[in-house]
Amino acid sequence: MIVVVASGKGGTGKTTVAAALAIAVGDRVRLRFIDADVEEPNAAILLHPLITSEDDVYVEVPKIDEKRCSHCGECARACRFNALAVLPDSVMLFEQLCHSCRTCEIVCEEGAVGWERRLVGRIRRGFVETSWRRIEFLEGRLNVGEARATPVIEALKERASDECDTLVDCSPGTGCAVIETMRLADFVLLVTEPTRFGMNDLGMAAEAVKRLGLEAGVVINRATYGDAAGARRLITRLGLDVLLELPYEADVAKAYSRGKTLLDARPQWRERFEGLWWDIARRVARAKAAHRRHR
Amino acid sequence: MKEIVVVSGKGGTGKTLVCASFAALAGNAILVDADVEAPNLRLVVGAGRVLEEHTHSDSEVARIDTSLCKGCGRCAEVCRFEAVALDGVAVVDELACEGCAACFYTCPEKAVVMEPRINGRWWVAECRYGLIFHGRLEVGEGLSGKLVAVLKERARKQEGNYQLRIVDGPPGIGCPVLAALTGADFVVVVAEPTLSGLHDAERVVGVAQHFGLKVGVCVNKADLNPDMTAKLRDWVVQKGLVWLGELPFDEAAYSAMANGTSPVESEGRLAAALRTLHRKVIEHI
Repeated sequence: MIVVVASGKGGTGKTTVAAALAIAVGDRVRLRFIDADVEEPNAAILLHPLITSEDDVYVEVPKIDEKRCSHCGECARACRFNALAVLPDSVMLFEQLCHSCRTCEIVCEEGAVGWERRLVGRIRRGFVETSWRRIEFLEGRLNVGEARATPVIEALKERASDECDTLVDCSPGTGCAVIETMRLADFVLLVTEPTRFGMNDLGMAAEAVKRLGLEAGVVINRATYGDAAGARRLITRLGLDVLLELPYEADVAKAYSRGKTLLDARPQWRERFEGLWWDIARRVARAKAAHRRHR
Repeated sequence: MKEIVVVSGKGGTGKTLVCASFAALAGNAILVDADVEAPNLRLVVGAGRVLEEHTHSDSEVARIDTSLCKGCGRCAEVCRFEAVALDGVAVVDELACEGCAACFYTCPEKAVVMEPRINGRWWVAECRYGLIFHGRLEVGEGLSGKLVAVLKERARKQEGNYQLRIVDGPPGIGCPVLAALTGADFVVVVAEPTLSGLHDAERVVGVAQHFGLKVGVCVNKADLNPDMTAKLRDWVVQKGLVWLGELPFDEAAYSAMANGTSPVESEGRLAAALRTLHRKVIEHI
């Protein structure tokens, strides 16, 4: 199964929860961990993977053959992203805006549109050693100055076959990068904090989950920090279950600041995370069975 | 009027806390919440009467005229976003469709119609400290940077006697962050003293410097890890950025904010540190 850890609001503890979950079950199941927060990938800071290979992520952008180009302007008019400007004797490309959709090539009557690759990010691969097995580790990294995260997320997805269980750390928000990542999921684990901000943003994330028709559950992090009772009521109203609550404890936050996982600071919580994993697995199995019956 | 943009790279470091405090200290400011995927600033600045409400549409979505579609599948072949499936006729997955119109230009039957789609909504409202411009992207929409650009442009045109324009930026380093940073007079990076906070601050500072912007860095929850705070300060100085100081972790102030009061209006260590931070920023713009 593929579990995506998401949140809406940033800084609620997605990476903390995802890393603890990986360490807790990495001994028991064959697991792959994917850091899909490609704008700010942080899981490696907690998991300390040994990186064994890196490869580049490219996007395709149009390259205009000026000899063939009649400068008619049809490509610029057709481009929905304003990535092309046709001047009397040259064509300008604003490569940051290009979505690689190839519409310019489709409309060009002179056959003047060719393609070239542009580097936008990297994929790093490696593994995390647990006591019995290795957790496979994959991370996407958008280059600084680049605007679009989705090509790097797509490159990660291409490498995420479903031959083993997968845990995905998602970026915050509810925009295209999040949707692109959530599409992978058999289950979305939403991490929130019981503050007004956390609740507001959880509502938006829950809406995304609902629109995609995905199974989901909630972890309340720093449950001792705000209005946990109010958070539970809201989560019930959203039609979701609380699967785990974690208290706020200063020394746990300090351990995180030094690159330690939750289970380094609280080894006794391992069973709670194992329990969370099997709870998710049961929910996914139940949903799949219901889906089959429905069909 | 000068514009301050507050960003962080990492989420949850305290951008909104800083913005709300600056607003309270300015007294009469223009606020822009540039996090349209998880907008929170309005929750802590006493947002009141809505002066304007707009829908935002900057892209299109493909729709299939099923009376014309013969189900040839050419549209699905040219679609780079796997947004078209065939079920007798073509069916568009609206969340996946980026509105590029490749199918529109390819369809031999002219069965594809490009229609405007609503990408989000935005509002201008009165608030306790002036005006707030805030928006909300429809869930799953792609171009949040464009909505941010619209908000900022409208805010820039606002007339009246305001002290300062304060932009609460989104997390990350991608398109909405680029849009939020455009035209800033000064960028405030709110870092946290964790390895992740340092890593993410480095990346967002890289983006701001890419645009040649003036950058200052402060560390929130500084006492969580004093060693890391010192490391961040050294890095800031070595990079030639403006060191804006430290904000202590003050639980009482956070609960004040959760109840809708700005922490700067409460008494205590955090309030004092926020006033110092504000003074330093004003000195630099």
